[in-house]
Amino acid sequence: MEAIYLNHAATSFPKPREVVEAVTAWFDRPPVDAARGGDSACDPIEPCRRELALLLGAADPVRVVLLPSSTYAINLVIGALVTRGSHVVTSVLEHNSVLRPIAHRERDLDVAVSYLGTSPDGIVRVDELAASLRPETALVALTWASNVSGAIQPVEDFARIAAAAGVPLLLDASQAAGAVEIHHRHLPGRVFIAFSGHKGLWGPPGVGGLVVPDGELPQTVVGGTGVRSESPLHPPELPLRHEAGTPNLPGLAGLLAGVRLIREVGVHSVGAHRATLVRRLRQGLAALSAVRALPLAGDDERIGIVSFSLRGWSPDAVAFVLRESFGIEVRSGLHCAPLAHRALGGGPEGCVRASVGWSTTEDDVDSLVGALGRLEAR
Amino acid sequence: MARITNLRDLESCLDRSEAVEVSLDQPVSEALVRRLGQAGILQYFPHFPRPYFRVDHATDWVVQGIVGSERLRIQLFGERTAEVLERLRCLIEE
Repeated sequence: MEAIYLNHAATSFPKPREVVEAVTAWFDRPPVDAARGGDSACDPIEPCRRELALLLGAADPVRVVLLPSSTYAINLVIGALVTRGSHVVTSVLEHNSVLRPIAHRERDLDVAVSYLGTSPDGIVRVDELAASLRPETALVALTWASNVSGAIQPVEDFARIAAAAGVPLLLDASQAAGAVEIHHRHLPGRVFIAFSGHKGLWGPPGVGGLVVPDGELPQTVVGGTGVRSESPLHPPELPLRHEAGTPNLPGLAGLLAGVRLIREVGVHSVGAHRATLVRRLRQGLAALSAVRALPLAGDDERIGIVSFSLRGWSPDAVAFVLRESFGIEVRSGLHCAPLAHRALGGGPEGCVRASVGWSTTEDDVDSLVGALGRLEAR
Repeated sequence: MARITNLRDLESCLDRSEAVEVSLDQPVSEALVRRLGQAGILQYFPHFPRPYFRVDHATDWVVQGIVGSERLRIQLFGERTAEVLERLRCLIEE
């Protein structure tokens, strides 16, 4: 039985052949100097940075900081900006990669936290944002697209309100990068965008990054850079300012290949493919009386995620039987976003999340709907 | 008679139970399913592409698996998980 992979929100699979070949090729050559700035033809760092800057609309490639993950990027911003006694605004839709760094600072540094609610269709309540800001608000940290519902959020509104108050905005684009058009330089105010490399950018795990608005974010992780070794202090300029330690060069080689491919295909085409599949999946699920999909916005206003529950089955059992009996990989549980499940009406055991990607076909979607129909019929 | 050859802790996203994957030295048989079913409520779906079963004990555990597979998934509830797991081992290997 050939497996059907519908867990692209966790990580994209299969990786494109170009990505696999780029990673493999990196190991086939002697490593170039890991110091950044080397312009060897086989050094993936700067080409990757340039491609990402083009994809994410950064004003300058140096504003793209290459890091091990979006979680790392988020921690970098929260750790630097959310200081003792300050206030931070986030939402109930956030992933633990945002919630936990904030919760730790709430516990350890007496940080106050405001959680924005959502509308019934899973959109963060923009009207609550302006009202929640205080003089001591150090950061607004919000998702670009929910990893539970897939709903794309009104990030331009977030940026406009945060900018008007002079508060930095951190956007978690872990699910959005590669899936929606991102134009960092067009967002008003001081906006940070954290992104993952292995989801919508089709790269391998262990790569991600942060688009920064300026070179002012305090340094929290410093160390070796391979340049200016005589200096006791870490270089202050971007992008080295936030890049310490030997980078994940094979990972970046793969990410470079993935981003190039997305730029060739076009984010618009990726989005159109996804919308077709999501529409088909939602229509299929709507025909099953035991399925309850989370109440959400339209097909075109979400990334490739559809979450649901099946009456008579626990989410865990659905995922297990789909994988083990039908060969379909989905994800059950709380998806590291417990507040989102509560807000969107999911049960204590969470729900089942099916997520489509570039490699997903209409047959894959039909197989899932067919399998759920058999579970429903028992 | 099946023997347990390995136990592997699984991540539980919900943190409300312990989940363990059990490896057996032979494929799960219908006889094993029926025997486990006597200790709880059995749901059995032999018409699925690979026959799926689930047994819910009243309080202590849930076992899920596929007939023909050499693995079982067990969720353990409550405080006495080691003791419950040992009772399950006896049930599986008897």
